[in-house]
Amino acid sequence: MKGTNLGEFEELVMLAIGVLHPKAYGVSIKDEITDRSGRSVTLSAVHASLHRLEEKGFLESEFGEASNKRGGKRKKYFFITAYGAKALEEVKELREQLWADMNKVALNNS
Amino acid sequence: MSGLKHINPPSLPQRFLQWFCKPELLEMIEGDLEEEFYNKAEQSSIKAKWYYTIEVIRFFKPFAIKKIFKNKSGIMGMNANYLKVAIRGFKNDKTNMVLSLVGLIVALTCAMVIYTIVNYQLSYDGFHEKSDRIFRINYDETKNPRSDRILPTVGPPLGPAIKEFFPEVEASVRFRYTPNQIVTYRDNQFYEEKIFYVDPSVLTVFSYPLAKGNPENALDKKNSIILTAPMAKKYFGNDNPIGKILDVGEIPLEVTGVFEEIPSNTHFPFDFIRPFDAFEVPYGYPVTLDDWGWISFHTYVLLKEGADYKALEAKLPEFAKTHFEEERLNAFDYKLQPLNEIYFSGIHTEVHKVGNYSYVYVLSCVGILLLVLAAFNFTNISTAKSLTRALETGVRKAMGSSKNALWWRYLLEPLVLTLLSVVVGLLLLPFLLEQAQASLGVEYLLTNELYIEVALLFVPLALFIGFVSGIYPAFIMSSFNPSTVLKGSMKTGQKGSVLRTTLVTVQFAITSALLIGSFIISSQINFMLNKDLGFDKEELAVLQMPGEVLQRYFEPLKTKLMQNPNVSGVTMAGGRLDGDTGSGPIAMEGVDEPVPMAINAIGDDFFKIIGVKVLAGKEFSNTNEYDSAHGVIINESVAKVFNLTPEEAIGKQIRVSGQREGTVMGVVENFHFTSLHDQIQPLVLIYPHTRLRNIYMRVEAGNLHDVIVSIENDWKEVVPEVPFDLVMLNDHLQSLYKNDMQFAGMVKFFSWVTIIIAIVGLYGLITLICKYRMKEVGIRKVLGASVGSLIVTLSKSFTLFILIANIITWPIVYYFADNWIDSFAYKISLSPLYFVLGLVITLFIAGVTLVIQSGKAALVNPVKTLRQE
Repeated sequence: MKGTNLGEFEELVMLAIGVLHPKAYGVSIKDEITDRSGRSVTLSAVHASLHRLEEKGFLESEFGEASNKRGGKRKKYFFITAYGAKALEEVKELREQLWADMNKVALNNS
Repeated sequence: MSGLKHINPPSLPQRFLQWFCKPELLEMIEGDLEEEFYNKAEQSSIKAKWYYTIEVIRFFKPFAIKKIFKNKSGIMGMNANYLKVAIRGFKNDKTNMVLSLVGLIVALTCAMVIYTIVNYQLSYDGFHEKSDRIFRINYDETKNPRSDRILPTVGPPLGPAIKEFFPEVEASVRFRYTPNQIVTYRDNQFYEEKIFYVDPSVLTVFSYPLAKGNPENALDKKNSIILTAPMAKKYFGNDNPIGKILDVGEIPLEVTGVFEEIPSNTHFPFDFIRPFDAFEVPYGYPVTLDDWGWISFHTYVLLKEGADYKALEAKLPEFAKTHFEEERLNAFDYKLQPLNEIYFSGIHTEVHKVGNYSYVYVLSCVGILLLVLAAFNFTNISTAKSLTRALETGVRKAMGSSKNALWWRYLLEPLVLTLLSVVVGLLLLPFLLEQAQASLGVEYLLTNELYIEVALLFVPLALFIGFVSGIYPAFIMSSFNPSTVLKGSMKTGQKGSVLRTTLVTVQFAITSALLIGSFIISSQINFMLNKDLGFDKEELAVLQMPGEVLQRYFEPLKTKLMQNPNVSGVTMAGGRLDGDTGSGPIAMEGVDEPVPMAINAIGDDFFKIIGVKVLAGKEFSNTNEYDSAHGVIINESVAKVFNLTPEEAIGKQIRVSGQREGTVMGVVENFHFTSLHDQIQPLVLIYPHTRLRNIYMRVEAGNLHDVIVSIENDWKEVVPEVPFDLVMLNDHLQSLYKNDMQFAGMVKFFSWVTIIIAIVGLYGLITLICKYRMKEVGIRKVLGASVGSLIVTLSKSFTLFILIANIITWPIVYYFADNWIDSFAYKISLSPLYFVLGLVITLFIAGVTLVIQSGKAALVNPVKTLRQE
């Protein structure tokens, strides 16, 4: 049994998949994260993360159409499983709870 | 888009990806990478390729890498399973594994260190690109029955003349040494001794490239000087030295070049060079630069490509005829010596580095013995260990394990261990070399090329050791008949015992050989360091007094120093009793032919101060003008050469090579004025024309530091502008034996290493033997044997091995030691004591190990060992 927590980067990947649904595959996920967060992300990092998320059962995947641009190789599309959706929800809830309980004074400084 | 069709991802990274990537991930990863690649390629194809390559490397992560080592049940038997078994084997027997491993690592590393040091010694002068065409002209007097000198120097006109006369000589270079001088640049003022006058061709003949300056004309002007990089740093720091003015003595010289870093493995080290044209015959020398007989110029020739130096050498007597009288010609030969042979040729002069080939030889032998010993150890332990596994092997065989599989089973373990050791050794090597340099002053050069060479030599060597030590057990084991083993009727202790006996005996032989060898070597070195030199070397200080300008300061300084309560005598002399003397033909009344002898100059009361007895006549003391112009002092040997007793010699007419004509006024006892590598030679002493360079002082013992400080204060009062440079003569003389001491240090160190490896090996072996004689020991014990008698039983055979080993060793060691000791003029005698001591120590080491281990075996409760069946 792999751990069930979501790392920060893993969370980003999953959210990107949600945004791109149903057309989320390696390069598009990478571009989405790069565009939105402005950080430079490598393809291998995305793949490593996808692989791990799939192993944890948060994601599932299937092969899509082939494209000329990819040297005739098929795309592999990723989808969030129900379990994955629940994990995402939990993360969101946890964050919202924390935001709600935050002592407002703590934020005044910045 | 269509224009990009022909651009493809780089093939090498692509192939790499296809090789390592899990097949189920490959299509996706490749697809994504290619998509990115084509996106990027629209801007720049180079960037895209670069990106692709980097990304592929980034994908080389565990999640994407397919399993390369799979558990196939291979027919070859070489598979990961055996690696696992090998590792399990290590775990089961930690002590032995650690011992074997440590022994191997130490031996391999030491051998690598020795290899590097020996390589350095053998590489002298090899860095010159034209080294195979460069020869030194030696002046060989061995033809003369009265002399056996070979000098590395010839007369000054020879260099230019030989180039003029012989078309096959492309260039010639002369070097002329100058004594210590004070070199000054602004506030930086030091004594420098490695200043040479050199022909400008030095820059083209030898490979001393200039880092700064123009090699074409750097030595054209008389007042130019070129320095080495360290000297440039010393005087000018980070400034560009070119064009700066450096004062050498009183003469301002312009720096016209700086050498690139010069490798230290050159026989002719120098710091500064000046053009030969600037050389002037020193004041008072009765010679000119046209004098063929003024034999003190190192001269090298560069031959044209394809020229035969032997043929040239054969023409030299004819050539010499035009410049020497017939009778002189019969006394010597010019010989050409190849550059790469100079370092080991054993011709001493004060400006050379001289190597000792026998040291290189002995050190290499020690290295090889060390490896052999470690290999034997390792084989012994693996063999002994394999025998305890006979049962396991039997079971494996009965289960249908193939012969191949068994071979691998026994070979893999030693191979893994040796490979591991050699890798550790390679990692340790640079560190250990640095240590050796720091503690022993050993010189070495570990370039990348050499490092690779060492790796290429030692990795196969280590694997060979692993293979050899594994092959024998593998061979026995795979030939076992499983039924006999499993029935228990197999006598495991017998198999392999012949081999083991031989190995153990050889091992003991090597150990005692090294022990005896290192005793002899260190005794000889100690003997030299402590030998009575014929004068009282303790509490003699030598103070450097440079240049003619200071002539006038000697008397005031002497007066000042004599008031110092710490100083009881002050005189002066040329040289520092280290062999640095002049030489020339000495003619004696009643003898037809002059004989070449060493000549030196000394001041008043020299012998009284250094403690040498005057046998007849008197020495220079409050010297009057007549004595200083005509008086000559000789040592006993000179009198002997002319067949005179000391008393008879007094008053005889003597002529000292044009420097002095006069009478013998004193004869002194023989004393060592050169290193102990040479016999005491005839020595002629004259009162100096000009002041000399060294002030000798007899100083108080006690607090040396205070004494030196008080002398320095006196010095500063009299000659404040000149650097103070005092050495204790004893320290200086020790430096003559630097090579010998270094060598002795290394041999001693490596002998200790060997002995420790031997002990470790012995310990492992004895442990194992005791282990499988446990049952025997148990039975003997039950039958009433005492612990003591058991130890004796177990030790008996070992004692025999040691005795046999020593008998084999002694003549061999004697032969080599005798040869080595013969290279010294003053030597210890090879007493049997060394040999007996070697035997006793080997016996002792083995004895202690045996008693501990067999004692352990004997003390075990027999119930434990016997119940196992």
